[in-house]
Amino acid sequence: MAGSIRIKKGNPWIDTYRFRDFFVLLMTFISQNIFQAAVFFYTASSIPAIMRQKKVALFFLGIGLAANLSACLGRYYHAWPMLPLYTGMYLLPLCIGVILFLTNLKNKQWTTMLPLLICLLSLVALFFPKDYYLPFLMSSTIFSYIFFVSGIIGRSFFFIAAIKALQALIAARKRGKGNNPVPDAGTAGWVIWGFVFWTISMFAGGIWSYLGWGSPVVWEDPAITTTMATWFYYTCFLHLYLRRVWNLNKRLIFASTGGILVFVLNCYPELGIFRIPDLTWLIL
Amino acid sequence: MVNSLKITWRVAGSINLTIALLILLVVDLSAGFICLESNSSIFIPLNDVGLIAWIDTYGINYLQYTAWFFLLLLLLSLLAINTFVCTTEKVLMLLRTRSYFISRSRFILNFAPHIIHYAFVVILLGYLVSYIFAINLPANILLPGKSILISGTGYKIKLNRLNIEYYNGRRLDFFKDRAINPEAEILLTDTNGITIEKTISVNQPARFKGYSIHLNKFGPVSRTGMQKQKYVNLIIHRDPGINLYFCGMIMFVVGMLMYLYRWYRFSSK
Repeated sequence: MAGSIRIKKGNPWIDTYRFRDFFVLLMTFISQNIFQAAVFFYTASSIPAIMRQKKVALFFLGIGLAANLSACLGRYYHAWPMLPLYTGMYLLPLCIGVILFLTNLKNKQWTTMLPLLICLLSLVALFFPKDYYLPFLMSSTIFSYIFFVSGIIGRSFFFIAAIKALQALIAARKRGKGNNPVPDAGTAGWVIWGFVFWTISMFAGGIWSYLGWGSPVVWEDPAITTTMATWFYYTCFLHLYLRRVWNLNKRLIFASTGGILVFVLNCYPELGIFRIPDLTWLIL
Repeated sequence: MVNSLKITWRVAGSINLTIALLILLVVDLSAGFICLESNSSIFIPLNDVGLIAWIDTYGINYLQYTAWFFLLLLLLSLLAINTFVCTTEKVLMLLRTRSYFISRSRFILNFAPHIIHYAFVVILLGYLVSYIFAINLPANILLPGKSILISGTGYKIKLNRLNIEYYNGRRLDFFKDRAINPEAEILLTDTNGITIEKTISVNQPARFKGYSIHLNKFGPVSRTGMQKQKYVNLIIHRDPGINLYFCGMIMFVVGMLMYLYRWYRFSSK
């Protein structure tokens, strides 16, 4: 049998499959179950993060991210060249975690809220799944991937900006400075990057829509309105920030409210009904 | 008269108006989501019949679900005017202060936000032109060897061949024996009888005499079950606003890259 590799002879179940088939089964297992392990490690990392145990938190977070990455790759494996639908909520904690690892490790100030946010988002993704829709042929274009991935990166930056703004506000309140200017913890920088990726996502979506349906706006999907609403919200923030229309405190409140808005407008529509995750694979 | 024009110009380009419009847009679009989610069938024909005909029919008759859309049009129009006035004022100011810039590159980079703003106006104009002047012919069913006329023109389209590749791997279990890569070879003939052969596929339209031809549906999508007749369903579109839209998009990206470069270069110093 050319091109086939027999693995573990003697096992009647595996023996009937070629290596490629085994790999397909493995990826199926990973895509369906490993996200639960990721959620477990994210939860495990949030506790030491709250207790300011940076190294322990990072260790668990790292394992969680690896598991989350595997789960996402598994989903992509079972959809490529099409786009796996409603997997944004699985990619979001991973994206925030990677950004955290890439940027925040050099800083002395350890962000406790971000691991907590990652944990909460992953729990929401686990208990309210909507990824049972099958991919469709129209999504097999590079623009659908740019639209999707860039949108998730943008969303991650907006969440991080919201957390940073919240931290700056809490720090200001602790110092008792009231309405006096407080350091903005680089909120605007995060928003700028979020805005850039969100815009790229919208443009890629427009190109995809034109190629597939002949128009850059397709009204079949109500997400078009929430995407635009988010874009206008952060356009507003950038104008407030760059033109100094409001004081810093108000701008920070605006940025932190943005996190709630992003969740309501962009994450909530991607959630399904409440479902208890299937943990039978742990017993078997 | 001149004074009142100046006041109008100043109000039209005010930053407070920008903020108010942007916040109103967020609220309106959020309301739009609720209306659109449960009544998307009202909005789907918007692309097929164009804005004016849609307003006359669906827009007016389902006002309780479409009111947000009318408000959206109004707010976007006001925002476009506000953006144009504000940006023009800033650009003129920048040109007047050109001599103060020692570095030429810094002067050019200062145009970044203005390019973005003008790009936004161009994109909105593109949308407006599309929705008013675009011709959309949504359902053009073609059988192999048969030809049809593009409505309103003397152009003909003939389906020469439809090649459908079916999936037979194990990785995409749900796609087993389903069409994965359809390719339609079409023959386009203009009024002078000149013919061109093009191949279209999913997300790969063909362009012909200002028209774009998109493969919307095809059959048979599965090779199992009862044998069905091969066919393609094409969307034929003539959109004079699309170039404006893409031009605005490119301008926006260029402006954004310039802005990021300026931000990186000058904030790091």
